[in-house]
Amino acid sequence: MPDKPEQKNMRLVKAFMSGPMLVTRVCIWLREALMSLSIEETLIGELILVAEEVIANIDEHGQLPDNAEIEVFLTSTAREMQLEITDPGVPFNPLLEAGGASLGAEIDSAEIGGLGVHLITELTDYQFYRREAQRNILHLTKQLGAKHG
Amino acid sequence: MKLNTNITIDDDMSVARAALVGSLNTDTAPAFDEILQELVAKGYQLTVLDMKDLEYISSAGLRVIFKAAKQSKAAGNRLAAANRKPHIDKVFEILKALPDMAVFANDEELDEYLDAMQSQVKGG
Repeated sequence: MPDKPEQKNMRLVKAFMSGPMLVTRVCIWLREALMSLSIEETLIGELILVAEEVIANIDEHGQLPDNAEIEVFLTSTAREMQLEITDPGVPFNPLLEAGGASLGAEIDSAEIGGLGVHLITELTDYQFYRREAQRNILHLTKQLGAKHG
Repeated sequence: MKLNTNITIDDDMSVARAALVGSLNTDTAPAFDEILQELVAKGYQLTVLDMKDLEYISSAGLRVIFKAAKQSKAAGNRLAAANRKPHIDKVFEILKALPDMAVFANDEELDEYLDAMQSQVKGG
């Protein structure tokens, strides 16, 4: 019998309507979902931060219609966590903003998207954007046990 | 996911201390921006952000802090961060968010700095 129970693959999905406190609503759900998976607190914090930066980017650049539906998919396997966030906003690849991020002394005047994407790319291992069925789809993977920073 | 800010002032030392409790994120950053702007505008020599009970920070929060840091510096004052937890520290490091800002690892370091400030004041 193994010391720890084998982690099963799990996929959770939740839809959120655009509007006030969108970031907080997503983060509260994500925290509860991650805690149910018995993920370590540091990893939970990093994944929530990544999700916040993605959602903030969507809010900033997506030009979302009223009552737009943002979907968050969380996939957990023994090796990695995957976060996929889709929105019906205008075509926008946030990953293209990463190179334009101003860091350090110019942080307060940097574009919101650039800073957020810098955090996203630093705290995840793989990032992939696609446009499908008139939705932006950002797929992020964080390998478990990988070293960051 | 709320943020409370508890402010204490030492007028003799010209030091303001803002203790952050909770999460400084996209939703809480605007209100904190107003509080911090008001505090920095009062012109204390040192404004300390005590992060002992800050559980979470995002780029939106860092942007607010560094706007205030630059304004403090321009006015000849300082903004400092104290008691950052490791995961908060990591976000600062990723965004290279250190310029224009003093950092105190703990209360002891802050107290030493304040003692030095007080000695300067007494020394005229």
